[in-house]
Amino acid sequence: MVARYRGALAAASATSVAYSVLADLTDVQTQHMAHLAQLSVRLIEPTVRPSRPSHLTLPITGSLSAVLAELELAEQSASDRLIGQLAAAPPSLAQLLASIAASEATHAEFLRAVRRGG
Amino acid sequence: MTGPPAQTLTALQAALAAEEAASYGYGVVGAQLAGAQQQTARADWVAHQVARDQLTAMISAVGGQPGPSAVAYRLPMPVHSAAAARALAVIIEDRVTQAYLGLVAVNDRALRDFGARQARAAALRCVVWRGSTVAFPGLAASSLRH
Repeated sequence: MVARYRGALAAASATSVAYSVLADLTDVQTQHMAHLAQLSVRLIEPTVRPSRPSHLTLPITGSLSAVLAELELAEQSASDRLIGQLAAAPPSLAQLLASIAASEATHAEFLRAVRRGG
Repeated sequence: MTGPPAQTLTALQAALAAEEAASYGYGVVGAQLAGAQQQTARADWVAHQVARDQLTAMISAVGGQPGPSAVAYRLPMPVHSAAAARALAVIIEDRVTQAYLGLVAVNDRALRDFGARQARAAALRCVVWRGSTVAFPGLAASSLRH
């Protein structure tokens, strides 16, 4: 997800997108880095193995709108996937996963608003 | 007949208390807003009332006694402007998110799922009022590891 946002930021920088959108996209990328950091220190337990969708490694191409639409879909899918993994997790990890799932849903909403020009 | 584990009932009661406080708080929020923002506040207020009723039913269903709502709540700050109202809405949704994450820690698959979906809904409402996203909705900084 961090890499995807790097691609989106590159695409956004190449177009005449508002500075505030670039700043917000950077914020969201930073939040994903924070997710990653928390998951890396906790996922020592072998009970939960986050699944990795195959399309995650594909490079992001196309118009900015298409890039943002793809990111939005990825955020929503990631949010749903995490909620589906809660049952197997120890309590505090489940809370972290649920919080990240909530954060990703808000990212999807943010991306939707950017695409609509809101 | 054995009831639910104490932890489950405590988490349900905490979520109910947060929803009751939210229902009260959104009355204050809505009074300071106008137009589209007031409509958003009204929709959020309704969502909290629905959730409050749902939690009340869930607590009763497991043999618990739903905690009564307070007549009034002490607000975290004076709310005499639209900006303060939006700030209060952020605080309300953060607290609701936090309370639902309590349900995510219980040992019941369905309740975890319910808690996570409600926490997500609260985070989504919150982002409208905050105007930006956060990395860990409902989690205190102290619960993160460094």
